[in-house]
Amino acid sequence: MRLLVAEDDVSLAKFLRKGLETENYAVDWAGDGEEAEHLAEQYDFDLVLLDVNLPRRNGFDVLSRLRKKKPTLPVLLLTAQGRIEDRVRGLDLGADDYIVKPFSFSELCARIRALLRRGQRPAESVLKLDTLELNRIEHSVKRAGKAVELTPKEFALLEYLMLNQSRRVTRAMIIEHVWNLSFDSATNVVDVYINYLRSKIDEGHQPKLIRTVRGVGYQMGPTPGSDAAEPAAAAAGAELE
Amino acid sequence: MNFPPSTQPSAQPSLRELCHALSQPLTAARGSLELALRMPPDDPARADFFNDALAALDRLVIIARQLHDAAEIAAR
Repeated sequence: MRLLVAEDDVSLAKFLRKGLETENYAVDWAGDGEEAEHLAEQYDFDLVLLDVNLPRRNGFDVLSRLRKKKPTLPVLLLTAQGRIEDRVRGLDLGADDYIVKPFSFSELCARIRALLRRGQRPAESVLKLDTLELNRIEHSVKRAGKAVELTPKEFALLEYLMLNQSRRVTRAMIIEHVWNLSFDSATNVVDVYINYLRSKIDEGHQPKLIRTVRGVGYQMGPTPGSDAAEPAAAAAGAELE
Repeated sequence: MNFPPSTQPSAQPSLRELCHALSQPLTAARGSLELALRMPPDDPARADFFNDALAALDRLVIIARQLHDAAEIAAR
């Protein structure tokens, strides 16, 4: 899942990004209100963490404008201690929840999970394909009933592929959603991580579920009868289909 | 967006600004320690989070000194 952190304090924003990435979220950062509004409108985020005291456009203005264009996007306000008026105003403007600084990271994560759960139907919390199951709330993965241990980035990549299993996704789309907007899209990091995922998800199982699409990127779906051929071909840089 | 170099609080902030500024490094220090303690001892990222907590505590020390100075000025 992809989050936008709108926070002008650089150190706090860095911590939030690092911490949330360890929780398997892809995180983008906006350092002022104008940028936060622009990014939130232009890209598909699952949730926005919005500081109230942002330069160039405060959090309330961003929230108010955002609600007109994206009424269902979950927004969690970060407010200063003791400012009850901030919390009331924020909730009245359409924030889904708020948390007061300084806050516990565990509590922040719990509030994020609660908001993400609220916005999803139960079926969307667990993504399934053949014998592969990914639980978006518990951050767990199973293949043929057996738990698969994934790193945060591998989890985020698999989640994105499974959310888009009806369509082909390009390497650029994967970079944008799983890494973040400032990531260098010229690297072969996507292919490297796809190979990691294949070794954990597909190795020893049939059918293979991660397919390379010639000249495009990747798509999740059964690849019948390719138990040995696909990983070998992918490792050599060949493209199937 | 990439992160610019960290900035320190302005030269002569008010007591109110200083009190507000406390919440950012407090959140970062507490959160970094929470994450570090949750990680296995051999995870290299654990040391990063401890270092982040130390950096946040350094910022708190600076703010505490500024609060002290501001309080002295206010008492004169």
